[in-house]
Amino acid sequence: MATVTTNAQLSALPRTAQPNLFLRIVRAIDPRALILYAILLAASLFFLFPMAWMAGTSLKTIEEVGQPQLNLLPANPQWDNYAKLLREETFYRAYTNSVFVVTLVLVGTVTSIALVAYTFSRLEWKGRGIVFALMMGTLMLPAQATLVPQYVLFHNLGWIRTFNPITIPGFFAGGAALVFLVRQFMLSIPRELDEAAMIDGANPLQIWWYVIMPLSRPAIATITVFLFVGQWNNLINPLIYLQRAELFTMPIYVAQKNNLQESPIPWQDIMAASVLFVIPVLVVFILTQRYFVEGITMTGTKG
Amino acid sequence: MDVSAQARLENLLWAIGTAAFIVIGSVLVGQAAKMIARWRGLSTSDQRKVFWGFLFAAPWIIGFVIFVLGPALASLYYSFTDYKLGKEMNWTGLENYRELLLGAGAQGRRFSQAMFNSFYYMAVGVPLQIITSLGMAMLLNNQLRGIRLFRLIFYLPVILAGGPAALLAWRYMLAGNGGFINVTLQNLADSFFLFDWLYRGFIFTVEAFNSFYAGIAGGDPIGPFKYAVPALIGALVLLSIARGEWTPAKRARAWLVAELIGATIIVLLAARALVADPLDPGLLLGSGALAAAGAFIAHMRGETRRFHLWTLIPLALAAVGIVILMTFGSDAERSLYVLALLAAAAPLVLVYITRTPMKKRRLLGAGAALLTGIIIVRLIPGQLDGGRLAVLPQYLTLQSAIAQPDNLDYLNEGFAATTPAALWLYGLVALVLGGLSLADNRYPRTARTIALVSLAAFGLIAVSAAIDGVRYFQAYNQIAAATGEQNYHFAQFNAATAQWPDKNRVPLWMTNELWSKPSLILITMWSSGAGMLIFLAALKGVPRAFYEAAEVDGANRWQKFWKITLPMISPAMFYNVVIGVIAALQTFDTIYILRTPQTEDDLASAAFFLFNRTFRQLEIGQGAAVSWILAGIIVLLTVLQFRYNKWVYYEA
Amino acid sequence: MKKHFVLVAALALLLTAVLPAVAQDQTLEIYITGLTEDTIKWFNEVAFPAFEADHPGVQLEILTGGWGEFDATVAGWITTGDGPEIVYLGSEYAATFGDLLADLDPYLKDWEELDQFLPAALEAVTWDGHLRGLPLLMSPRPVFYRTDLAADPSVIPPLTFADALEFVKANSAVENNAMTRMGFMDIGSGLFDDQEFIAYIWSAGGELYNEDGTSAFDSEATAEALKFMYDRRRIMMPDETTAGLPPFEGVPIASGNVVSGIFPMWNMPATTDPLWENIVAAPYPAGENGEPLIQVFIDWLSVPAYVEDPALAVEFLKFITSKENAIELSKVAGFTPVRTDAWEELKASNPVWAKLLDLAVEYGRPFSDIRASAELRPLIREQVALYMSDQQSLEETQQMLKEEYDAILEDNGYLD
Repeated sequence: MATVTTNAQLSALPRTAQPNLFLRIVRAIDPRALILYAILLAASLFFLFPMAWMAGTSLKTIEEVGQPQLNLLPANPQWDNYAKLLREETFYRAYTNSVFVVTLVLVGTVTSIALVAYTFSRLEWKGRGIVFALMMGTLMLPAQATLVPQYVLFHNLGWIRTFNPITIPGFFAGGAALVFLVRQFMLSIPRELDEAAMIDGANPLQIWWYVIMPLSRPAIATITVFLFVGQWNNLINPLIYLQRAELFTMPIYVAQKNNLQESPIPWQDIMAASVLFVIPVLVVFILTQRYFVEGITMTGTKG
Repeated sequence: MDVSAQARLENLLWAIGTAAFIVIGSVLVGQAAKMIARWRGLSTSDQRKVFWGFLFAAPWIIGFVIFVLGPALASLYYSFTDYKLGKEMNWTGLENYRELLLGAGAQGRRFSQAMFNSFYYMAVGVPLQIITSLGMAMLLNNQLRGIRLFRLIFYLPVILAGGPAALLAWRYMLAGNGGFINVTLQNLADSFFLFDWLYRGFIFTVEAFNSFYAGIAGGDPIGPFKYAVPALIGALVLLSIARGEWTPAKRARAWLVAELIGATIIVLLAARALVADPLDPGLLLGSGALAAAGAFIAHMRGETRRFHLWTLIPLALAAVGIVILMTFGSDAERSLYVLALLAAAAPLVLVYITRTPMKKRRLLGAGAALLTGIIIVRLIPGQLDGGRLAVLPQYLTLQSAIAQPDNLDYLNEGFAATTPAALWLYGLVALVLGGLSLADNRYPRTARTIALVSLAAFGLIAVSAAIDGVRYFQAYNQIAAATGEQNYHFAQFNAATAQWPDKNRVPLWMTNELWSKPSLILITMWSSGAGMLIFLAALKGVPRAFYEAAEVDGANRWQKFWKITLPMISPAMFYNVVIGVIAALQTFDTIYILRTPQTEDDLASAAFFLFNRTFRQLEIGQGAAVSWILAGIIVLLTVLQFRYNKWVYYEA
Repeated sequence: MKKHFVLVAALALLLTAVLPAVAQDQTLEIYITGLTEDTIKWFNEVAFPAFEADHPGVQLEILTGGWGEFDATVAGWITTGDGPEIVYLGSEYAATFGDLLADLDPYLKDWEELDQFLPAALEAVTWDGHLRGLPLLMSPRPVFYRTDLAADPSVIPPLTFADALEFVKANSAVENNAMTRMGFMDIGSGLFDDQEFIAYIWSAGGELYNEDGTSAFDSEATAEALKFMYDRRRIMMPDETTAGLPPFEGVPIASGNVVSGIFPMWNMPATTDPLWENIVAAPYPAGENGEPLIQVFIDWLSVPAYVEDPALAVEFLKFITSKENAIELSKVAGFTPVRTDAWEELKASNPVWAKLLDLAVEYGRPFSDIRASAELRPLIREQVALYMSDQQSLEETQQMLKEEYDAILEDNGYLD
């Protein structure tokens, strides 16, 4: 039962002096919220610290990283660590290789996924159920199961030591999970739109391009960011197929920095490369985090 | 031209060519589909639909055939051969699977270690991950200013942990000597007495636990302990359902647990039976009978007219198998028993795929219980487990099952780790629960009586087996000391628990085998934000009204969590567990970056073992077999996921 | 709509036809692992142009990668029979790849400069009596001792297992369950090293294989080597939870807490460092029936058997291992030449190297003839680790090593 405070009751309250600013702030603060904030901040420290440590280390000298120490930032930041990296040809090459590979994968994969998702959501045809079930079935097959015969296949195509094994398979709607995500989204678009277009004489290809694609932008954006992050971080496939330094992508470059037989380990260099490696992912993530959350919750709990 | 620029250009040309190939291929696929549609007499408009449908699906279909189906079939074929690069390929049948599943030889042993490692990540890592992500989700489920920013921060590690950079940062922070984490811990320990105590307790616990686990994983018989675990699980489940009223919900829960345990056992026994050599007829016969009994109960719960057929067929097959074995008793027995077992298991598998509505068949339920009883009484003692379960009566009366031991051999042989007796106990639990789930609402007292009696039995077994486990462990050490041998299996455990950690002791994170797995789990906890988002969505879906109603009833925070939140988010929980378990099997990148030559074997997951075998040691045949074992486990888990949850998927 | 498809299809066909038209010169690909930027530059800008000038129409290309994925990469090439013409291999790989590498005898047997190579190095690149490549560089790996840190410098170098244990005992210290001083540090600073283990089997008078080709891990020498490594570990590390040394800057031998150890030259101070006055290089201690020795690692260039005509590749091998280039490489990349005729200059200018090379000649044994090394390495690591950390007895360890290595040898066709 909600209480209604009448004017009479108000005036019956003992009048107090207007509390000062400090007291007002103190009263405005909800102690429960305060505790929650404290916990949230402590947890954030745990989640953010490795990143901060990475950034801090990248500015230290080799002497500093070799000894036990607790200061996050060095007294004398070594920006030259970055300058040194940026001057390095192998770094520049790995970076541009990564950008190239990721772009091509995105273009091919997103387009083909949009096409395939369209047929599984908006078109009615005999056999759709079976083909769709087959596609979802591939989710259960661990990637390692096909790794070796794929290697032989790519060899027969003459694709070893080229970018092809990394980029080309994506053109065939790689990733059933992502197709599923887009399909779920497309299912929610009202049917009347297709029908209206159909009456106007549009064929399915035109409907896909002019009606469905513009409306599916959020889903497309979601899979694009997923693919971007996945591909930018991808280590194992490039490791197996690229095989030559000129073709190395950033994950291999960074991972190999760690394998260098140097003593002491030049952590400041490794961390500087890591920072530059992480930045694009970080930026994309912060700009598009809405899509991440939607993508995961949509495929994770609905459907 | 610069090599990389040229490679990019070529790749671009290939990409354009591929696009063209897909366009042409798609049109061809569409036309072919249309032709088949015409041939099958579909209407013109349907033909058109089929054309367009396949046209759009063609990119995936073509890719599937080229990049998935072909390679998968090839790898399936390789898995039955001894294919090694540069060597002649021979057909070896099930040899690869046998070696791996039975842990035979160096590779089998290394594979079992990888499975033990993976199991560690499941049993220790996944719960910790679930707790972390649920905790984060509950924190974020508060209406606070700036909560979205925190959500972003909590999720951030997931994005970064996929790549090598963040893992390298962890590697640096975790360095055993002078790494940030250890130095901080040491400083805190030096400053605060309480923290120092906790810190040493932490070191002690982790080292004791991991060295004990290493002892078990090293193939040590843990003796009667393994009886205690299933009995304890049975007792706990029964305890929860015996309390309070006998409701449909409880029956459903009992059934769920029975089904899960039953399926696990069938898979384990079937895998063993498929590869076991020499084949134990009792094992197969008993497994078939267990499976059949399970199927029987399963179908009595369901509404299907063919239930009696489904149960009679496997039993009949088993009977035929026995007759044939008795008559011929040769190699033929092997395949026949396998057949019998598979046939027996088939109906249960079927029940998994088609969820049939429930129907009361009390009478038949009693019949099933009787049948089960007969099977157990007739088959178990002395036959199925080399006599191990003969100790049951002793356990039931709280007597020690260990005869006075006088040498290590007795202990090693007496409780060989491969004894399937523990599995039988699990089977018993499943059957009791399955039987209970049949009990009718109208007979709550009967149901409760069954539950209580079984509870008492399992409780007794658990307690006495645990006591025996301790006795056994002590005996092992004593005999070892007396005979001048070392207790090699638990030497590390004994050393780690001999004394409270000294001051200045630091966790040797990446470098010591006792700490390498905990290091990896720490990092998975750090990046458990994907699970958090799933939980968060589930938490937001819990109606406020439930909490308000509970508050009216005077429920406290804890009660609200257990009684409302947890049941309401259980699908999300189940989902996260399944995904976590699959991920534990497939862990690769983390191990690849964090390993050192010393810790590689202790970190290797099943997927890492697979990589080693195929790409480092060129054993394509065995690598393929590993990948199909992995695929089998993952398919099973996914089927479970299908069965108990709606189809869900997410990509981290 | 049909028209559009025809158009697109025609375009696509055209493109598909154009694709393979990327013309190729005759290229010779060379895979070399773990090179520095400077060395790659030297290959690309100095060595390759010189060779290309002599061989018109030939183009050289260098491929690089890390040792981490070396096995996997090379395996891929050999499976598919397609890879670089020249592959850089580590010391023990002749036995691993065996007949998968081309027999170069027809091209090299009459080459007069062959005599200039260290015989041990040629032994490392030979399998089944035939040359499989040419050695490119060597790294002798002795034990280094610090005379200024040792409790009693007069016992340096200890040449028997017993003396070595005494030395480690006198020079190690543990405080608060953490090492403060290490009498001996192994090359991986870890549990133990598999290459070192093999060296001790040799220096204990044993071999890896019996006459019939089966594993000799059940030998007395293996037991002696294992026991030596175990005892040494227990002296420095009373139990498995003992922490390592506090962190230090720079290379281990210069830390002040490490009195002796086995280190590759890249993990030692520069040869110009004054610290070398206090460093003694010596062979590994030996068992009762063995002789002290130094492990010499030979990195070499091989021509895989899938190469149809190895003649050109062999031309390049001769070119790059010539005296002039060997000296060049020792300057640019720090490679120690395998050719004795390239040593004079090095010895004259660098007393440290002079000493090391003399030791290598006197005590050197190439790390070679390790069969199925990709599978032996993890086996040793697993089994010896169990023994070293008290999880398995000596007998059991030897038995497991022998049984499983025999199985591996049989699987790989080394036993008939």
